[in-house]
Parts: sequence; structure tokens; C-alpha cells
Amino acid sequence: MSKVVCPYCFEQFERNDVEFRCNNISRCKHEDDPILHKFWGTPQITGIPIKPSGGFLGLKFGLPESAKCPECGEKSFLMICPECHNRIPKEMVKKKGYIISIIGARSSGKTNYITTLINELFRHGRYLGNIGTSAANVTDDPRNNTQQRYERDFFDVLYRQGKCPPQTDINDPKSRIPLIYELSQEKGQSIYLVFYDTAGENFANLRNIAGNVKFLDESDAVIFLLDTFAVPYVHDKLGIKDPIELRYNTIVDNLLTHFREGDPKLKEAHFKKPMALVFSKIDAILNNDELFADTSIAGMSMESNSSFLGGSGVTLSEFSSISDSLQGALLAWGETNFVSNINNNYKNAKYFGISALGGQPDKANKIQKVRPYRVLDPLVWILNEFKYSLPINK
Amino acid sequence: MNKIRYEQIICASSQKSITTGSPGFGVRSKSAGISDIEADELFIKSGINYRLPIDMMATEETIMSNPNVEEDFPSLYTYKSVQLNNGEKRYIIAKTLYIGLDYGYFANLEGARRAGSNYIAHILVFKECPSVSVISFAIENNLFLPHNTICTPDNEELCSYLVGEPTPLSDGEINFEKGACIQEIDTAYGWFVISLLQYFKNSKDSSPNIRRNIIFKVNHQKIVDLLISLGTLPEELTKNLYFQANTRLLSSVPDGLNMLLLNEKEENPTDDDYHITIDLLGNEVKTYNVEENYLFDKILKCCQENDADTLSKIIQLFLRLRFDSEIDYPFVYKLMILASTPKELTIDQITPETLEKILSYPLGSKDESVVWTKVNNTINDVFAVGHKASEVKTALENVSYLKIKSPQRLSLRSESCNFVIDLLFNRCERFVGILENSSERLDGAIYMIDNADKFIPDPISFYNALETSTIPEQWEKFLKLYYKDDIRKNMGIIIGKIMNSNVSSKESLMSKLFPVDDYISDWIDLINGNHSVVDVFGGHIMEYFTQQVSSRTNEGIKRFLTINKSVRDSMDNNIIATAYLNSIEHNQKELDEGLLVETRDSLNIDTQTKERFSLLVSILNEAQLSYVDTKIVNLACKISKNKEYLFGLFEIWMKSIPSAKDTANFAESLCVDAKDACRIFESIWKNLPEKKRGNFILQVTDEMSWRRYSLDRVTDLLHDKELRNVLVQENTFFKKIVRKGTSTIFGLFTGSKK
Repeated sequence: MSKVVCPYCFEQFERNDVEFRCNNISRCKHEDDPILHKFWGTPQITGIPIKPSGGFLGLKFGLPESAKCPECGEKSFLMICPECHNRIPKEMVKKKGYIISIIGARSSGKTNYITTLINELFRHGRYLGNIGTSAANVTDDPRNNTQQRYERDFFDVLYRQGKCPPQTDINDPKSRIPLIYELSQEKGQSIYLVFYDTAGENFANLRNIAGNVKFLDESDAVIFLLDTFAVPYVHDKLGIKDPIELRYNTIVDNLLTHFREGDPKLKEAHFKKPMALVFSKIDAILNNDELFADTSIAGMSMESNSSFLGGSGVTLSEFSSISDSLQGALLAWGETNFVSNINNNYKNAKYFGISALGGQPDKANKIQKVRPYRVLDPLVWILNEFKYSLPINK
Repeated sequence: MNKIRYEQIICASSQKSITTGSPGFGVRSKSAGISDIEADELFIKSGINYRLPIDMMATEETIMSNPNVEEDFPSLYTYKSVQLNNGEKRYIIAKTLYIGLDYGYFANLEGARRAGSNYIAHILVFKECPSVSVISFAIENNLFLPHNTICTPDNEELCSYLVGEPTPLSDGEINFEKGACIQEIDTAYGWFVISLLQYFKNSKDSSPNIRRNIIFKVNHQKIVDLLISLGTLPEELTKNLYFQANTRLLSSVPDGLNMLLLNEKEENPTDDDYHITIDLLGNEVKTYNVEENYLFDKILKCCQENDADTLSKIIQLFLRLRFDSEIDYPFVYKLMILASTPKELTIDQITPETLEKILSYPLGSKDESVVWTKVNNTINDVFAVGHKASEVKTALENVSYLKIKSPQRLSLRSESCNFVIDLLFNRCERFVGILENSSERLDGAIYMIDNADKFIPDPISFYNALETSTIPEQWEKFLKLYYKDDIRKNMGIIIGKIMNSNVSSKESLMSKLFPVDDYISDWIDLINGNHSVVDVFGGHIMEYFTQQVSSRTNEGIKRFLTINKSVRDSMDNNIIATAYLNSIEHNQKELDEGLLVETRDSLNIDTQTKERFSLLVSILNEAQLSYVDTKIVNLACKISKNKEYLFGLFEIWMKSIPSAKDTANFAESLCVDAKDACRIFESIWKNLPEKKRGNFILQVTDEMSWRRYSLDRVTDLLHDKELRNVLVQENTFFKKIVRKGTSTIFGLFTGSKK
């Protein structure tokens, strides 16, 4: 039986080592849980943690379904990680939970991407084999549950207020709280996807990477967001006055260095994972085709969004075709070295071009209408890599 | 003046970090004495940021309309320690100014101008823990950067921490003085002090459920004042009081901090019941885990009356208290007032109970001196003409208590001591009235008299006063005090006075004054000269001599014989004589025929006791006895070494047919060879009836180890054939077992002794 990775502490544990938390709020004691306290750095007043005391066979071979609270005698079904005591969805322990890291430099559009990606999943899941997407609301603190957090910190800001979200602070503890979604199908499998909205600064230099790389090690796939505006050729073509803050490839280069210099096993595992290299804000190129007449991305236009959104099923060759086009464009933009580095290291990488907003925000960072472009492509490709049942066109 | 050095770093989302060269959140600038790695580490580990709910964050429009962002977003103040990866500790004091907008806004760039989360944190870094006075100093002296906090691109100072190349900061040194007593105080300050005092008290309590951290909720405009006031509070109260002020989105105090100061802008609920929580944000003050405390009420009263001086004293007083037992807070407050005002005590207010409390509550050295001076003044003042007897009684009880519990704090005037002598002995009718049956007052009076210039009442006055008392304890203590080293010399007078007084338990009093062990010669002289003393004290004399004769035999009896016969005869001589005989019978070395005879003839003893003396004398003279029993032969065995004499006694004893076991024991001690054994056997054979003697011989031989002389040797020497046959044929091993019964057989096989 494979191990489970906790989406909070990224520690691996055996399924039958899972623990429970007493849920008898009214009649059992509530006290500070020292393990959970240690994880969050603040007192955590919760029901008491319970180690299941099932028989030898139950513990040895099966996942305990519940545990009896030694204080109040009530049965609890609330599963917690045995390492950090954070709540974990039961199905995620039972089945496989896939952790997908979304990383990128600051201003590469991670928060916008996550916001639109999840909303697009809600909207278009029916075209992907009737995927139902539901938030796993299993945190101890209701303010941190996925549904509330997504609506409050992501959806409301972008879709209702039409504002670009604030930059994610490197010291914001909220970035440790995952967004967990279950993708389910009527007959097919259901899987859990775990996303983190991290600050780009965490990967901007090698010193910071070491402290943040653990979730990357435990990720099953990575979505690299690459700021199209930070490609020098594009930057110049678009006539952006501001200097480039950080070249689009800095984080990829930092990660390459980190893994090359580190544990060979981790390096090998990392380079084998599905790696979606996603150029964000691609609308700026597609909407300025005259500027990029000689160096355009073949076959990509704002008019041709992901074909599966029309309900015609997923055409995998479309992803390959776009990936090839983007690679060609990169070469044309003088990014030969980046392409070589990717090809020489990552065994399962694909290029994507997306636009979370579908256009550029105004000077006050407001966006009138959000029109996501191809934001689901990287995820659909990754789901297919996970062998998730999708309506694939042969 | 105190000095402390510091390094500094500034963190923000800026165009370029001094440590990484990257844009975004990070270390914008730092002083040279701090390495890049340490600066980055301090920023991350300090956890400093400006957290806000997303819908509360500033936008470009709101900032442009009111660039004085600090008004709506109060700066965050942080005081905490940070452990570096290398194990070293750093202490930080920081101010985090919320600026909302990313650096692009300040640099007029098109990008990098997202609104919401940016801030400028100025972190002062110390290698030694700075006191909170440093925080007060830093705030009061506007040490934190930027000085100009207006968020506009025109603010060059602010922009310099966000845009362009970072400029290194300098190292710094703070010269600060411990804040003087705060002048302006209000209710918020009072509650703040209360929260700290409760925290201080709880820190002394090791109970697991005690609340150890503070959540203090107050309007943001008060927070800076409160932080400045920290420097005016005693260091004991604020030491290592790590905190964050104006923080948001925290429901409880994070690890590494002890206090959160939250303002009215924070709407999220907090775990109030798990902290020492004081909430001043509503119409009514809400408190959690703050005890009902008289001193806390007084603190609030001081704040209402702007009485900073008394408030400061209450704080000092609270810090000196020990909380391991129950505290009478109103009492300690009164003590504090007593120490700090001209108010004097009345004698009614001083009791052993109050003195005990005064002793148990630590006062400051100055206050202590004042309080004890007042206590002593009040006590001394009572010992003067015109005061009521009841007051004198109370004062004496206080003296008694203090001389035991804390004599160094008792300061009595010589006039007071002389007054007590005069009161008790020159106006003797007051002796009993004052002392009554109170040990405490007696001890107080004794202590005072002992500390007087001189205790010189004439003997008549002395005894006149003493004789009014029937309490032996009073007699004993005053007599010892009066005569001191001359008490032996005056034994006769003293005993006479006791004998003629109405004091109770005279014998016990005499014994306490003149213990027989130490005063035996004096006692003998006294009773030889005054027969009547024996009536009172004879029991003690007898007890002494009984013990002496038992332990020191001849010396004891000789001493006893020095008492006049007429006096001796009034005592029970049999007891002494019996003790003497018992002692001699156990310790033959003390046998002295002359003394035996003298004692027998001198003591007035009964016939039976006299016969015991005579028997001893006879055995000593190896005189033939007409009757001998087991006791006599055993006694003779101990006293006489003459074997022939003892064989003679044996012959007589056999006529009384003693038990075989006693006979065997005696024979065993007398026999040295086969000849002796034969003599014993033949004596038994000759003196016992024929019917009994066969079995008797066998029983005796069963008990004694006569075969050590060999069967043949013994039987050869025997004249009587029948006796020889019995010994040879009946005294076999097998027959012995049969005679002894099955228990012996069992014992033989198991090896156990029966």
C-alpha cells in the first residue's frame, strides 16, 4: 500500500497510521493541540487527537475508518495527519491525492492562474468527462477551508471586484494552506488536486529555494508559470518601458541548479515528473500579431481557445502542436539556451500558452471582463499523464 | 545612561534587494555588520509582514486619495527574539509601516504596482536583549524609518527604501535612560498595567492550565502611548515581554510572543478564554482570566485620579509579593499606605496575626524600615502610665510573637522594659491581672525584663508579686530570671517559698528549677535538714535513687545511705532494696558482703526482702542450706565457684525432685569431666524414688551432652549396676528418638530444630 503525503507538512505516512480528531464539540474537552500548535506557531484549540486502537489486523492491513475518543467515548471520523495533526480529507487518504505545484516568479500571474483555473474547472468540467469539482472543506479553522478561501481571497477579488489580486507575501502563513479539490466522475475515478499559492520570491534565489523545495519534491506534477513579458524579445517588441524585473527563466534555472547539485534521487524524480511550462499573459502576443509577424506562435490565436471547451473531447495532439509552436517561437525569440536546458533535463515537459485574464488590466490593475484563455490545457495534459479518465479523441 | 548597539535591516517589496539583487519581498537594505544570509534569515524567521484581510487592503485609489496610510493602517510594532540557524539568538524591535502599493507605483513604472500587501519593515537587530525602554526610546525619538510615512511617489525618503539601488544602512547605538515615572495616566493605562501584573503573577504559577499570554484590545490611538509607557514600568514586569502591536488576523498569541495588542480594526474573533484578555474596545470592559483583586481596583482608582505616585507604589508592591500562599490584598495595600504616609498604628491594629502578615509580605527596604518603626513606636508607647491593662496585654503578646519570629525587628525602649518591671513587681496586684494564664504575655514580660537596664525589685516585692500567682510556669521563669547564676545558692530559700506558696504542681516546679540529677547533693542536704520537703519532693528522690541503685549498684546504695535514717524511713525502702538486690544478682562483681549486711540492717525493709539479703550472705559464706530450690542453685552457681559446695547444694536440691530439664541445665554447668557426670547421675539415682529415677536419669541424659566424656569412661566409674544398665541399654540413639517422640524424628530428618 503506497504512502500518503500530507498536503500541509509534506511528510509521508502509511495509511493505517492516520489519526483522528474528536468532533464532539459540545461535550468533550477542547484544548491546545501541541503538535498542531507547533505546525502553525500559534495555540490551536481543537478537539483532542485520537490514535485509532483497532485490532492488529485492522491496523496492519486496513485504513481505520474511525476512532473512539478516549475522553468522551464518541466515535470520530475526522482524519488528521499523524505528523502535523492538520485535517486531511478522508477520500484523499483512501485514494491517491495528487499534489500539483504551481510556481513562478513574482508577477508571473500565479494567483490569477489559480483563480481562473478553478473557476474554469467548475464551468467546463462537463466537457472533460463530466468532471465534478468540489472543494474539500476539512480545515480546523473554517476561515481556512478551501471553499471560503477561494471565494474570499481569489474569486471575489478577480471576478466580482474586477481587481488584480495583491502580491503574495513571502511571510504570509496563508501560503501554507493548500487549496484542495476533488475531481469526480460518475463512473470514473475521483482524484484530489492540491494547489498552493506561493510567493514567487520563494524561488527567486537559491538560498530561498532550499527552504521551500519540500513541497516540490512531494509534488506529482509542476506547473511553471513563465512571465511572457519577462522574455527579453517579447518585452522589447511590446515596447514595455519598465526594465525586466526578473528574466522569465530565472526560477527554472534556479531549480535546475538546485536539483543538479542536490540528492541524485530527488533530481531524477523531479526531472521525470510532468512539467507544464506555461507562458502566462500570452494574449499580449496573440493580440499584437503585427508586432510578432515573423516570430509568431504558429497555430495559436485568441480566437481558438481549447477545443475541448466546445464539447468535442480532448485532442492531445493539440497540446503537442502548441508546445512545438511555443518551442519554435522561443527559438525564434533567441531563447535557444532555455529550450536546450529544458530538453536536456526534463523528460516529460510541454510548453503551454495561457492568459488567465484574457487581456491586460488597466493602469489601476483593474480588469473589466475576465476571459480565460487555455488555462485548463496544462491541467488537462497533467490529468492525462496521471491516467485520469478523460474524453480523449483518438 | 544605558548604551546598546544595534544593526538594522529594512524589508519591503522593492525594486532590488540588497541581499539577492531580486525585486519583490525581501531585505531591501541592511547595515554592514549583518551578513546577507543573516539578514534574509532574520526577515523570514521574524515572520514580519502586514497581514490584512484581502477586502480590507488599500487600493491605488484609496492611497491616492489619502496618502497618509498610517492613519487607517496603524503601523505594526514587534519585539521578539529570533534563533538563527547557527544557534545564535538575535533580538529585534521593528516597526512595520503599511504602504499597500508595490514599488512600481512609487517609481512611476507601468508594472509592479499591484495594490494590497506591501509594507516597509524597519527592524533593529540586537545581539543582547534590549529592555523595553529601548522600544520606548525608539518610538519617542522617531528612530524608525522612514521618518516620512506619507505614501506618495514624491516622498523621496520612502521611495529610497523601495526604488532604485539599495543604500546600505549604518550600525547604530542607542543611549537611553530608564523612563521616569509616567505623569499622565488613564484607565487604558491602568488596564494595561493590570494585564502585565496578571501575566507576572501567572508566570510564577506552574499550574498547567494557567494562562500565560496577553491579548490586550484597545483603540489604535492608545497603542503607541502604551508602548512608550512600557519603558516607565519596572523591568521585572516587562523583561522578555515579547509582543506585537496592531497586528491582524491572529486569534491567539503566536509562539515566541507573550502579548498581542490589537486595535479596533481587527474584527476576527480571538481565543480570549485561553489568554489573559482585556478588551477595552466595547462600551464595557471585558476581561478574561483576570482575577478579582483589590490592588487592581486600586490601580484603576489611581488612574481615574491621575495618582501616578501611588500607582507606581502598588506596582512595586505587587512585584514583591510571593504568590505561593493566599494574599490579603487589602492588608498589603494598607501596609503600603502605612509606609508612605504619616499615619500611625494603634495597638488594636497590631496583633500577632497582623505581625505575621507584615513579616510574610516583603516590603521594600525603605518601607520596611518605616513600617517596623511605626510598629515599635506603637508597642513602646503602650508601656507608659495611663494605658489600659488590655493594651498592655496586647503589647506583651506582640513582644512575645516578635521575639520568637523576628527579634531583629523588635526595638524596645529601656523605659518600656522598666515600666513592665514596675508594673508587675512594684504594683504587685497587677501581676496576675496582666499575665493571667497567658504564656505569650509571660514570655513577652520575661523578654522585656531581661532587656531592661536592671531587674532589681527587692526580694520582698519580688516574692510578694510572685506569690499572687499559682501558675508554676510563671514562678519558674521569674525565679530563673531573678536569680540567674545564683539559683543554686538560693535553693533553700526558693524551695521554702515554693513550699509555703499556693503555686500548683510544686513538685514539678521544684524539679524544673532543681533537677535531681544536677542537684542531688543539694537535695540530700536539703531533705536532711528539712524533713517536710520529702513530703513534696520524696517521689523524685526515690525515683532518682531507684534508677541510681539499678545502674550503679553499690555507689547508688551508699549515696542513699547518706540520707538521714529518719528521712529515709519516711520513704519506701523496699523499693530501693529490691532494686539493689536485683542489680547485685545480675552483676556479681558488685557483691560486697559488708555493704549487703549494712544495707540489710540499715534499711527499713520487710521480712521477705531481708531473707533475700540473708540468702545472698549465706551463699557468699558457703553456708549449708536446709532447703534448696532451682532459683537458689542457679543463684549459687552464679555466685560460688566452689564445686564441692555446689555438689552439696545439688544433693539437697534433688530431694525436692526438680524438673529433669532444670537438673540437666545445672548438671551441664557443673560437669567438667566423666567423674563429675557420674557423681551427678549417682546423686540423682540415690535421692530420687526408685520408680521415677530410671526415666528421670534418661530424661536428664537426653538433655545434656554427657557422652562427650565417652560412654565407657562414665559407665566404668559408676558403682551402681542398675544405673549403669539404664545408661548403656536405654540410652541408645534409637530409644532416645522414641522417647522424644515423632516431632524429634521429623526434626532429625528435616534438619529443623524443635
